Amino acid sequence: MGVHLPYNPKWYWPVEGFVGIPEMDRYFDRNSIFSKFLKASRQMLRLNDLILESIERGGKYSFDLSGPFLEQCRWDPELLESFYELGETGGVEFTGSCNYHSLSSLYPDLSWFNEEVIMYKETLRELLDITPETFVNTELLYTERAERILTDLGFKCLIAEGSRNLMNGYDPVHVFENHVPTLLRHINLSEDLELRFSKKDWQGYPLIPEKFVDWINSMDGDVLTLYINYQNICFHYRNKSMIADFIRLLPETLKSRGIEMLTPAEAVKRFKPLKLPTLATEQTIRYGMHNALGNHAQQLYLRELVRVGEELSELKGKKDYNKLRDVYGYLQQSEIFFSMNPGNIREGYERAVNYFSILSDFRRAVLEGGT
Amino acid sequence: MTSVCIYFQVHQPFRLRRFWPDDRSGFFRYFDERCNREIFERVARKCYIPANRVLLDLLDRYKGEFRFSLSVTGTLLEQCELWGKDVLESFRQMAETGSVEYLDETFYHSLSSLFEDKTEFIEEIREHRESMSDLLGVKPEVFRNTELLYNNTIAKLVSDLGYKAILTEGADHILDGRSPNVLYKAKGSGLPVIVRNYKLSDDIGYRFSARWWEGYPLTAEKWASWASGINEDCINIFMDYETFGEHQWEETGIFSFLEKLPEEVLKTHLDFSTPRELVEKYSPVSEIDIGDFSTISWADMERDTSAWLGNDMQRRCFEEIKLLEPFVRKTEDPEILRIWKHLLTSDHYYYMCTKWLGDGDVHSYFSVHSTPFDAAVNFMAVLMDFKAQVFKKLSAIA
Repeated sequence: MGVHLPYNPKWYWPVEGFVGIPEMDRYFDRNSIFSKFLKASRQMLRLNDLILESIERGGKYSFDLSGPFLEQCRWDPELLESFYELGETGGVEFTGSCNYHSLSSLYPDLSWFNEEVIMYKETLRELLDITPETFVNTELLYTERAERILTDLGFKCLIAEGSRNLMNGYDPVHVFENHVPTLLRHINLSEDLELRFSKKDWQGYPLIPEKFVDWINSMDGDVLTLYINYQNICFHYRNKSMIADFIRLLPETLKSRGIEMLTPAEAVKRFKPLKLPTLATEQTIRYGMHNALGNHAQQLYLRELVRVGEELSELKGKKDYNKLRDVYGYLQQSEIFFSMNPGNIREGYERAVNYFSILSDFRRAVLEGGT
Repeated sequence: MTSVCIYFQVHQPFRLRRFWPDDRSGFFRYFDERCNREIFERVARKCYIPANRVLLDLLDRYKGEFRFSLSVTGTLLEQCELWGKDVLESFRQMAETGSVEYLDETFYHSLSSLFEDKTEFIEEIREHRESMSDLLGVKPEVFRNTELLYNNTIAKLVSDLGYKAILTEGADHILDGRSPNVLYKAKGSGLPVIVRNYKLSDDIGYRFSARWWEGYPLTAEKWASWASGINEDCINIFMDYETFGEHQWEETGIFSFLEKLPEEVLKTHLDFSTPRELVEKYSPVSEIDIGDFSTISWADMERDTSAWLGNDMQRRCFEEIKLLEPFVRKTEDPEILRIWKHLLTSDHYYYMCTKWLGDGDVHSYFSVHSTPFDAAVNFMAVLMDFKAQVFKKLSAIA
């Protein structure tokens, strides 16, 4: 389950002029982020109870809580407590990720990526007292470049997108051999739950556990990885679909067909990894690399982020460094990239002009050096 | 006697390149040398050189009876110096005939008149005045602002700088039933205002080759007969010089039209006068009052500033460039200052315009971008990089 709520940038207007060390509020509208979080957190509490019930019936799950989401959880100790309880059951594994949900594993210099992963590990230890063994990069990003760092940081398992350029049409139903043993998401079956579950005009509707388990059962392999946005499950739940029954009954239905639920770390320990040569050459991310970095605006934004990062690292040790570093972190969230390429150039580029304006004010502050 | 007052606008901007932050430096880090040169050379070949030749012939043939005025931007003069000395030379020859009046404007064909602080606007007018004097040996006495942008404050400032008149659009909502064929005076300063007769101007500039138009095909004789129906003081015909050979291709017969025009006009009761002569011959009949927030221009159907500042992207880019001014000045770096000034050129903002209906074609005509959105992202990328350069420089000084 992927749980993520981004800090969306606001429609920035340089009312302050080109001056000062920016606070988060200069570029992000924290009021609207807060109210979105409040709404989501109430639903997640209920959903967590449901997951708890499912675990009691034999279910196992892993959670990829994003860094920005964890930060927001500080506003709601009850929600944190509920995730902590899930962890206590032994049926839940929490995974590691990039602290700011960034694309930093693609930057020419990986030291910021390294820093982000460590930062995230610290946050997870602080808030849930957990050290993750499995890594899920931002939006299931996969790049071979990150492997060495992940090995060094002690990760035992990696989950990434089972996209066409990696799988070439086959179902990802094994553990794959890699520096860090790798599981790939089964896109179709994940999206059946994530996107199509409540759609009445879908031919699979209504999706009951028996049907879903039959689909899984018809496949030949060791392990199947489903990765679903938690928010989407909230959506189905809110719409009074049958998702609650589905989650409750899934473990038993699977068991009746001799299928076991596992956490990622258990899966890589149990199965012998298979070779997958494309892992050495291909990159991927949810919705495809071209959606993240396919146009001029996205490439420019990425290039500028990298340059600002270099300039920022020269301020290490100064008083304003930590503050600037935090804002810099949030300016890297993957949503910023994806939203510049929504399939509609008009919307995407209007946003891009706004983002450039933000990033350029931030760079101005970095160049002014702080104190 | 009614005077036909013709003014041609001669302008090419320095277009931006499709920006990528590589290791180029200086002016051409941002501006596209090759594309600007190619466009300049094309327009010179199709318009400036042949049209100048036709006009020089006519000036020679009619010995002072055929007169008109030209406004040449500083950016075009710079391009002439770089890539077209022959074009510059023929503009100089026109100046020498004494029958061509050159006008002043901002050097950069810029939007600086829309800043609240008018320092830059005044500076750019001064720069233009200097280059007119250096390159063409003339001292303009009449002013026309970028795209005929006009309001009371601009008129007052132009009047204070000593100009004898200003040109603007004869927009319907400003004239409010009054005729464009007389002189007006600006509210406040009393500066004489010469307003464009857009109907008779656009008959040539826009509709000349339009087959859907009932006036098609337009001959000099037909046009002169329409014009001679007017018995007021002046008929002010303002248009882009690129009409000849570029907006209207040579094949449309635009050059033969131009060649015949003086003869056909002079057959009637009409004569030719330049703006400076109009204000000597005639007196303003009433006042024009345009507040700062109702600025007019000759662009599009709206005749306001919406072609450059109509959408969020345009306003953002303009705001950023405006806020950057004090920092740019503080660097005291002539190259940085020059780049900033060229980023004020109105064309960059025009390319970002998203008002498609009717005017879209003109917007995209000289644009190197595939969409207004590309243009905006590209401009902002340039600005982002340039701004960093400015602040780097400043922190190096500090």
